[in-house]
Amino acid sequence: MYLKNTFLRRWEVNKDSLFRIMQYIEHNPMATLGTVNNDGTPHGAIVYICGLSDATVCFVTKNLTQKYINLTERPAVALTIGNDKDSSTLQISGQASVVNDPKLLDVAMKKVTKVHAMMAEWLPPLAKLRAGEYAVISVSITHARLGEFHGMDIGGAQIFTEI
Amino acid sequence: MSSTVKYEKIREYVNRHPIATIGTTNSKGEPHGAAVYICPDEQQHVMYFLTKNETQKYKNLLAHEAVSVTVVDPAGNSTLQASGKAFTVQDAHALALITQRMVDANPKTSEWLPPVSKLDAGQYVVVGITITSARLAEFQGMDVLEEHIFTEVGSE
Repeated sequence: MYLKNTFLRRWEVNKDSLFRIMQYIEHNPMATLGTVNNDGTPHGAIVYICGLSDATVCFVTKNLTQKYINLTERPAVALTIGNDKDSSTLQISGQASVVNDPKLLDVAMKKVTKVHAMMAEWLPPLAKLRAGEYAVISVSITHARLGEFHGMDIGGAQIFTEI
Repeated sequence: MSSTVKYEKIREYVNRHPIATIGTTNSKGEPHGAAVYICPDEQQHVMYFLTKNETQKYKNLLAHEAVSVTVVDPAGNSTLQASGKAFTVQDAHALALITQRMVDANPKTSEWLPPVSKLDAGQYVVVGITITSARLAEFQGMDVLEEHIFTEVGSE
């Protein structure tokens, strides 16, 4: 019984944490995608992300970009968001995959288009690049740590929300 | 445009947009990202940031010196993608530079103490990154496939 309650409590906590993290992404959609080149060096690129389902986010790219080449060969990726105005950061680790399911593709495209429509310039940077065909990428989150530093004490245990 | 002029443009960009994501790789070869305040050296092709010696990024870069530096200016629709090699800095000049950068940057934020100061993650350490290549992309007002979008150094 104790074990069951502990598990349930942990699941509830994780559900709250996941909700908080997905909300943070909704308010801060611009992220740095980290991938690894074939020589083992890191590569960073800016993407607009949005929640696709529980613990899954997605973004649009083109299939000749360095990030696309990297993530199709080595699917482990990092997503990093920083908001200096409220002194917060989100660090995500996950597994990337190309979205091929037409239904999922439709949902992802609608969400990503909505994110882009809110930006300063309607045409996203990606649209101006000669880098192949559009592709939707989903990232299944394996670990995420939201750091909210505003008003926190040094070493404060409340700084981090983790899943 | 000479590479000196190009690098000066990139340096000015970083001075205006000092928040960057440092990309490192962990012991499994997986990517790791962390947000930092960066500060370019006025003389060399080096950028500095302050961290603590028990953070994941510091452990990673001690084991694998190759790092990426990514900066974005959402309002200006521009990004900087750079690669480099990280090293631990011992000289006071770099410490003074990066401290000044953080003091300058923080009045714009909601709170004076920078995030790194609130982490219980060991001793402060200044890290330098020797930039080996950098690509500044400025998309605002550019046509689709415009050649002038990019300013690149080190990769020619």
